[in-house]
Amino acid sequence: MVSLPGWMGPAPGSIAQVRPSPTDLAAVLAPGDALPRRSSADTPARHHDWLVSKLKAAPVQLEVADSPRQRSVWARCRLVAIGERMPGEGRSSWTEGWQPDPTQDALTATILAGFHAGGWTVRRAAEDLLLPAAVRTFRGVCLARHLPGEVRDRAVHDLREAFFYRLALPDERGTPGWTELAARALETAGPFQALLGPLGPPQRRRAAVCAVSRGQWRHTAEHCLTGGTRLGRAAELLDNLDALETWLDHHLQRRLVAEWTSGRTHHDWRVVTQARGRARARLRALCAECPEALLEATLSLDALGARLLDATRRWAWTWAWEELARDFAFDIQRPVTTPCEQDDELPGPWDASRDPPLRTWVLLVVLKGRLPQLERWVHTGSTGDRDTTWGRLLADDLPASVRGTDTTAMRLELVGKLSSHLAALRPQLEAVAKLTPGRKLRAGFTALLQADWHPDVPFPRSGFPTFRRNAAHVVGVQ
Amino acid sequence: MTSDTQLLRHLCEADDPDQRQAMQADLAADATLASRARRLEDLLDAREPSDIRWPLPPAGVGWGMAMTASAQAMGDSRGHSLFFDDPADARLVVVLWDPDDSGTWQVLSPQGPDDQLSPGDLPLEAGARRRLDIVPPEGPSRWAVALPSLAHGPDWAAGDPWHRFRAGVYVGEVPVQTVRLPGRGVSGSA
Repeated sequence: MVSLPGWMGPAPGSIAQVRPSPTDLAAVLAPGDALPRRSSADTPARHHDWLVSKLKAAPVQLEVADSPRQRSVWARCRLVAIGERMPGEGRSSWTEGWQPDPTQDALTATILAGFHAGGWTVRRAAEDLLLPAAVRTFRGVCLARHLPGEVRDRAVHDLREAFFYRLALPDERGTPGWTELAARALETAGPFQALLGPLGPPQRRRAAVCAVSRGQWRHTAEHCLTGGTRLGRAAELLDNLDALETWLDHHLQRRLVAEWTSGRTHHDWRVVTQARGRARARLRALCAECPEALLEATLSLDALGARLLDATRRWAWTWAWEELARDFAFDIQRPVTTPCEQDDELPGPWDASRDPPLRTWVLLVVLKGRLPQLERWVHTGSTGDRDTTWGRLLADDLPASVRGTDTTAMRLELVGKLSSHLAALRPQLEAVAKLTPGRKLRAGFTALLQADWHPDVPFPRSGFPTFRRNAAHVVGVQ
Repeated sequence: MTSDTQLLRHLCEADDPDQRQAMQADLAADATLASRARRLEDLLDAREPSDIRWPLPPAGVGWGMAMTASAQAMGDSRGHSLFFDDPADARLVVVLWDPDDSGTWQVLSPQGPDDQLSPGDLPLEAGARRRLDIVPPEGPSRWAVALPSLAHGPDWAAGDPWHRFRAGVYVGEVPVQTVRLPGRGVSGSA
């Protein structure tokens, strides 16, 4: 797969279905001498946007026809143009430019540590440092909604009362507001990588499941992850969760192509920032569940004062809109960041002590001629048939030590390991295939396999000719 | 077209860092937009009263004491009673607020040294709870009760009798609870 400049993830494979307008096509593909020229008086923020607006006013005739190939070229050019904005505007803007101030940084660290300790001694410092930014932001929201002055003053007055309690006291989840603030400060250290740091194993599992389950993310996961089932894809993503931003970049490009396919071509950067914003919000919600690790990660940031103040403004903007929707009731039970409702569906790490009985069971499955069913079940979660032998293999022959509470963990383990189990079993299968048919087959089979057969899996008592045929079929020996 | 909301968010520095460069470029390129931004910034920086006389938490919040409210029949009308657990220290002072017409907290009790109640002066109800009767207005209202020790209670000899009390509430050393009542005849709780 090809990665375009600026993007960390691969470009979507199929992009010819986009539907740019003639103006959009002309802005990118028309010959240069057919396009409007900027005068010295024109100082557009972005040349492409300027060109599109000029062409709308005075359309030019494209010399090339609107064809799938041209549309594909157009989409690729646009992805390259947006990709050029990604390293600086999309990524470095989060991490660079924070000015250290030793005094303020130390005070900020004291405030966060004080909140974490549950003490109130930092109240004055927190209000002096952070409240003015929150007040200005609330006033901004009130102005945006054209609220009367007295309502604005009342909202700001109540904010001053509520601010400290919002940060210090737990919400309905038992999570105090300072964790939301800390998570927003932490995302300035690299909006995705930094937020992954404090997550514990359950939060990482939920992040992976969430990313392959929700909205448009689900379609991206289905397209580019090979895990077969939703949880299989989540397990695959979990193994590479630290490369989340690479996957996210691929998702963003698919989202842009989807927008262009719908004929929406003029809010490209907004598509990028909104999709990345939603992903960050999910990670922040999970971070807030890990206050110890979150505090530790946040306190390790340089320029902490500047980062937390900036975080306060962004957090207060969201908070103000939520309060506005509830007539500024300042109910501190409601978290500002929507909590993560994702269940922990993925099983914990696979216990290697379950490998020996699992391998014996896989051998039994192969001998009973149900390898195709096993492969379909592993990769799709279903065999697609009602095979009773397979049903008995799962229900009766699968040891409880392998099954666990359900077969999810085993199935996800086999997504990545079935081929290695089969490779390890190949010598035994070849030996079974070469057994002499006839009256001594059972004895030969038993002598060959019983010593290494795991005791948790029932050793077969009949069907040896069939086992031999199935083994021969799998290893290609006739 | 950049909306006022987008502009205000940028002026408040509340937009995400990956949105700022585009807005800064728009402002630099568009004189009309820059003019709108200056007008909004003037409104944004207008001053408003900022003093908080009573550092009380929002309605429904408190610490150090649990309080509930329920409607009660009081003579010809219906009032409310506030219930809180009987504290072990009988020398605490009961302080009661409600908001004035502007929404600012005002102390209803005590108004002076002769008006000072301790929990022991209030009726003791089932469950070892003290009952404080109030008469709320017809509409929704907020109430606050604090139980400062004598060390944090009002100092009637001081120029500002409530100075040390406010300091105690501010740092969480005085038990306090606020409650929002929906109006007469409807029960509410903290």
